[in-house]
Amino acid sequence: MDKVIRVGIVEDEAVMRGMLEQTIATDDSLAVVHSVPGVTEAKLVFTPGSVDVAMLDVHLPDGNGVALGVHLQRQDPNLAVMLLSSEDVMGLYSSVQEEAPKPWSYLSKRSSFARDVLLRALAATAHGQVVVDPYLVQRSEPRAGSAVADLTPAQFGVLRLVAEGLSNQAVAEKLGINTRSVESHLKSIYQRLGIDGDGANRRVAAVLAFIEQTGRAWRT
Amino acid sequence: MTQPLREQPLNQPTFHRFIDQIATHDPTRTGTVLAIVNVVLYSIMSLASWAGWGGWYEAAKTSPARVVTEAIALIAVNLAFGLLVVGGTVLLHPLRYRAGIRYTFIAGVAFIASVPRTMAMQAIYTTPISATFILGEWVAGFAAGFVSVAAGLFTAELVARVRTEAERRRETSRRAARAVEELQSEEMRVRRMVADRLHGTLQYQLVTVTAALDGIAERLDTGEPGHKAAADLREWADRLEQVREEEVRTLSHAIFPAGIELGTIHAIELMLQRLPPQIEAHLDVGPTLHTMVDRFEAALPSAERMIAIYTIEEAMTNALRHGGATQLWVSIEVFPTDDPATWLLDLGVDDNGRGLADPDPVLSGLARHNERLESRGGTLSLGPSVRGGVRLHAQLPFDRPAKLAG
Repeated sequence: MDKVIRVGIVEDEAVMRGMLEQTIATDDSLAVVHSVPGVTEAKLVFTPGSVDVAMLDVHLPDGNGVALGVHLQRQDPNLAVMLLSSEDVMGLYSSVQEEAPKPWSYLSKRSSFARDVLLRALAATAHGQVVVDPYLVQRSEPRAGSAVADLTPAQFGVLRLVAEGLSNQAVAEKLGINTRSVESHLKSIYQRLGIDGDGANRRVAAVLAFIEQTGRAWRT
Repeated sequence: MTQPLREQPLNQPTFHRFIDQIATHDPTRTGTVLAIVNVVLYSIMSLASWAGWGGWYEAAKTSPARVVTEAIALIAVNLAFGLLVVGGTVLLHPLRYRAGIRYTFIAGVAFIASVPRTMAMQAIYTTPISATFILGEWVAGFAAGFVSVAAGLFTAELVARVRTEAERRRETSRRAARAVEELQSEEMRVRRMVADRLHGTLQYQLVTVTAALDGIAERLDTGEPGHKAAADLREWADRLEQVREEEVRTLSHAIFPAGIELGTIHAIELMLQRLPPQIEAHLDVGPTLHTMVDRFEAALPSAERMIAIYTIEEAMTNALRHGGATQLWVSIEVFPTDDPATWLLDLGVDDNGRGLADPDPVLSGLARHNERLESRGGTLSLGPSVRGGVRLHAQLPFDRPAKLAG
């Protein structure tokens, strides 16, 4: 994409907002067009067509980022949404996918401090991919009794990286296998999860299944 | 803990106490008493019409004693007639039927009973008998009998309605008082719990992390290579992450459940996702609630949402902690009730754990939730589940949301 990706930020913590703005400014292919602290301001400035990716904090002083995202995306179906949260709200993220016109990405605030992760996630989300926070993905385990729990460990390892938003080639590099075996793994994953359809949609559907059918044990 | 509310002492005039005694919640009895009072009054009043028809004058012509005998006979006949109409009506159980049929009954009884009355009147009166007299006596008797009894029953019905309404209002205010008390004690409990955990667990965890970071800094000061310390630093960063995710989140959830502003189902799904991955969890959203949510209607008021979330959470915690369950089934649905303004929330949590040791369990941890539900007119029960473990079932009435009214 030659066009600059326009990013809009809704985050109530001024320090956090400044950090995001600064990090995004280091990449020429990205530009922050709006940066506001709450739902009210966002509804005023996020006019349809003015933003490509909306980064939304879940907990806002005057409302909820999830509801805001659904509202904005209904107004502008081309808008890509990335949820931002300091606590694990995968359950919310998962349940909102049914209501949202288009699947969202989800990044934890901790990961958003890592420049590479943030910029890669924004670019991928703008291109219609679903990116799930790498830290949460790595902590995720299949939920007992789910279809994802029936995957082999190798298949689950591939699905994990796909959920992080990695391309087949990047997955192959990371796992030290060739791209063809990644593709064949993916084919079996789609089959086991009962996913039909064409390429890009199947990938998104697999990520959504991953989000829905995994859990994280926080208590030690 | 809520204290039992004492009844307001009844400090009303004696007459009200008398009414209370003769007519506790039985409109038929009240109606009968009132009808008899009416009949007695009318019997005495009938002396006036007797005098008007010239009965007094005619009798006085015979002897003063004749006046007294005729007057007594007149009252007796009218009383007998009135009681006949009352008795006849009561035998037909008039209040079982709707107003139209009820008054037709009374009219019928009065119509028939008026015949022997007219005949008795003819016998008593010394005035010459004419068609006008017969028709007049008969119509007057019928009208007096009908009005006496109908008015009695009508009044009784009004009294009963007022009584029921007062009772209902008393019950509502009693419930509201309990709900307020419950809310206050719940607030104190949550404040206490949050304060305890802030001072206790969280403080301790943060002190540990601070001390550990100090230790690492000291090691770096004394010339330890940086890469050795890096591994430790990462470990402590993870530890902090856990403190944030567990302690901080638990506290904020106790004050206000995450996702609740988005809706009950979202908040429940979030809770289910938070369960350890080894636990299999199912959520069954009933068709009515589903339709409401699909139409973007806020199905539950926020107070009821909060109660629903915390009740489900407590049930799940019990199932995992005490029942050793590995599978959970949560179901939620709403139903309309006979009262169009009120709906009913229905919650079920089933598990496959060890089940209840005691078939009639003490609610212990759930007692608080039970109290909260009851103070709002709801119910909570525990019993065996078809899934093998325990089933918690809770119902809670709520006001029908305005958006559904259309």
